[in-house]
Amino acid sequence: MNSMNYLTISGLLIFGTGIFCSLAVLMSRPVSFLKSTWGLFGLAVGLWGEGLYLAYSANEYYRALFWLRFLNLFSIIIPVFFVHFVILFTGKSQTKAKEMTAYYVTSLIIIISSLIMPSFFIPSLSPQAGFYAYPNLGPLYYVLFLFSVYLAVYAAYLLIRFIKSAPSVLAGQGRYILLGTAVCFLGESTVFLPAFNIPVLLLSTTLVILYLSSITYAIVRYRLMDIRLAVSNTAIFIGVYALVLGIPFYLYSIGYKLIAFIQVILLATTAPFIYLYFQRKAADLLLDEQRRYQETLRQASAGMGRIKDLKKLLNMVVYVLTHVIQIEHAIVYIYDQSQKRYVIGASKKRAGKRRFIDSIEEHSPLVQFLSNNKDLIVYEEIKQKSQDDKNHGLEQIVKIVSSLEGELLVPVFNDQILIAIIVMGKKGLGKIYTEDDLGAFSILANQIALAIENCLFMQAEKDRIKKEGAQARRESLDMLVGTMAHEIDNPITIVVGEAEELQEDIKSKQGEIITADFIKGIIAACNKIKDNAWRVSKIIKAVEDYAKAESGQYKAVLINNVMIPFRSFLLLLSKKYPGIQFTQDIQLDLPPVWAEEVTIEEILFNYVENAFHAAHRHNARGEGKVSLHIFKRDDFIIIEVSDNGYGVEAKVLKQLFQVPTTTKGSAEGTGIGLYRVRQVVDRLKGQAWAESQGKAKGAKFIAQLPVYKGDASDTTKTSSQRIF
Amino acid sequence: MHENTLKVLVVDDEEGILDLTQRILRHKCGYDTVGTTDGEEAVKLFVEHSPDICILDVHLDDSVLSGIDVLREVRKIAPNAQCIMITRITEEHTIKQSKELGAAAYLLKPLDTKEWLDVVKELADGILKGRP
Repeated sequence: MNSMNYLTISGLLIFGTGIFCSLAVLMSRPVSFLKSTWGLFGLAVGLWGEGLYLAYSANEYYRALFWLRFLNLFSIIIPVFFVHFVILFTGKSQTKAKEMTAYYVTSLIIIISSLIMPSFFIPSLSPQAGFYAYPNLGPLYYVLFLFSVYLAVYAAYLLIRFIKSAPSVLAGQGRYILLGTAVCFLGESTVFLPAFNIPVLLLSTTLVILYLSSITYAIVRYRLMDIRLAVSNTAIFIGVYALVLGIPFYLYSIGYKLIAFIQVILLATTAPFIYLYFQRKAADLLLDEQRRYQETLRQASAGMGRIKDLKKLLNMVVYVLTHVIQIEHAIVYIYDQSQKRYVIGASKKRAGKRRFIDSIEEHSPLVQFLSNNKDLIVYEEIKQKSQDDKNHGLEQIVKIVSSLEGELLVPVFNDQILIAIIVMGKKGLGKIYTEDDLGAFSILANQIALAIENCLFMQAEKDRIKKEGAQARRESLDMLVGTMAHEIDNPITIVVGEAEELQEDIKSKQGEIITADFIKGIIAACNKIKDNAWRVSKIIKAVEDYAKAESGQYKAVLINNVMIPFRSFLLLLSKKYPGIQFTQDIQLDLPPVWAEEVTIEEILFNYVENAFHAAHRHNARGEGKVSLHIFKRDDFIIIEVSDNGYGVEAKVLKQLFQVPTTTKGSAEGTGIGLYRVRQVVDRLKGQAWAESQGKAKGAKFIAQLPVYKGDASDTTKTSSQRIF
Repeated sequence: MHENTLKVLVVDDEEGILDLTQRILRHKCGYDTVGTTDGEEAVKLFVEHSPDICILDVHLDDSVLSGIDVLREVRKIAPNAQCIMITRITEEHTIKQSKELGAAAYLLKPLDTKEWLDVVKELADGILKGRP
């Protein structure tokens, strides 16, 4: 009687589980042929369970016989669905299509036969192996039995072969399915055994439930990836509830009815907590490492925003993936605007050298696919789907992903535009990607997108500033060159003219007595030639000094040394802006600053040029005044440039150094000069600002640079020759 | 000095060039010369000396009047005055202005002595031919 009750309960449970699993799989996304087949398998198992329940809860002989014959129909189709599932899982659907059709046709023939002549399968019921009504077997039942056994063995064979040759991730999944298959069919077969008059413990039908639930859970929750966890979760669930229901059931059967009742209440209350406790323990055990790297991923993504250099960022991404998460290789392809393709931004392989595919075309089907689906690609998943759907487009994607040797592809979007593709190889030590991993990678991708955007912005800004800096410098140089050309023309004309004159004079004196006056004339001409030649050389030297780019190599610089070449600029400025009265007051014993000579020149030149411009434009000739005052105050060197020019309004004063702003006419300046000064001064850890009483009231521009307190012998010696 | 000796006014803000140009004109051509670095002074000298030819630098630093201003004034005083403009400025505007104001030649620096001297001699020949 007890075993009868057990069959009824397990039948009902199998029915419920089967229907539930079937619906869960069929309703989950993305849809695939593999899942549909599993869904049908679950449905068939469920209906088989229903037959079991109804047969053993029936109180009439014929009703029991009817339901046993009913469940028998599903015994025929269940192995067929299962073999189909295994064929799809092992990727043999194309080669075994005809075979599969043959199985379906055979099962259909057997089903029809059992409907037409049910007595050839189960003619009657009689007590067997302890059951009061168990099927007696007709001759065709053996055909059905052999067919089922063949399919079960065949499925196992396919799985074993697959496990041997498949990549580690899939092999792991294959092993679980094989194990499950063994458990499931063992469970199911126990129902057969009493029919052959073999007494067995029917508890094993419960294993069907375990198997069905765990694979379904793996498919739905983990995309058939981490079956270990799915199996453990289901096992814990069943274990706990078997305890909850089993102990009171046992107590009830031996007569402790009240205790059983109290037990039910107590255990039913505590069971969820016990389940959660064990589930958490199992997850901790199985996912310990995984959680650790997910935490690392989270930390890494948080730190990414701080990286300003794209190359560094991408290197960090591949480093984290390969060294922390231990993915065998990782590549980041980043969109290159100029090449119109995705090129390798960073790549890393944990061991050995490997050449990866250099780039991915902008119009590649893979890029289209990622752009349209906006989801990551799991290689095995799309491979499966392409086989299921026989979709040529998808096959192309599979080929590309395979050529990239990617197990997982994570797209990185910015404003709906695919800016990067992260290609990940296998996880180390044969571990598999879980749904949680995919979630973590999706978050990581978003963080990377933001970080990349940040880097690109910083890079663009850096380039822009560099370009503008170069432009400002170029403008100054253009001005210098223009003035210089004029300055050079005159001495050259003198040099050439004097030399010609000298030549003529010497020729005309041939054969004549050379007088003292003549010699004096020659010496005077030679001096003129020499002086003017030097003048040219010095002007060129001054411009050459200014044209030197900033090298970033700082040293202790004495401002007084910088003033020597600066005088040549002053001369050029006085030519460009005639009539300006320039005065300077430079403290003689100024300590050095930690800088580069060109950076100091840049500050001086921009300030002084601005002052000359302002004073020249605002004053009639002779009234424009510019003064340069350099002195030490506390631990700073102060550079002050004042003018009596057009002044600066208070509201503009604040913006002057912040963004490119100009108080000159738009045709005369870009306003980059002061912006550049601020950048330079910032780098020297100083401060730059301007003061003005307002429009038409002149202005004072100040730069404050910290005094260098290191070894003063670092100071560079500039040439002692005086230029002008 | 010979009656027919030509007189040349040289205006250049660079003392060295001013001196050299005058020396060449005196020694090689035997002309009389007057010179200055300032535009206003140049106009005064023109009125005072009535030179036959003026050699004017367009750009005059520290001078209120530029070479073009001097040309304008000179042509006002003597509409037939022969003026040679010497400069490195290639601006169309300056060239056009010089032409409109009646400059005889517009020479670009840097110049070879022979080049500008040939132009001066050419002008001088014309002037001498026109004399009785």
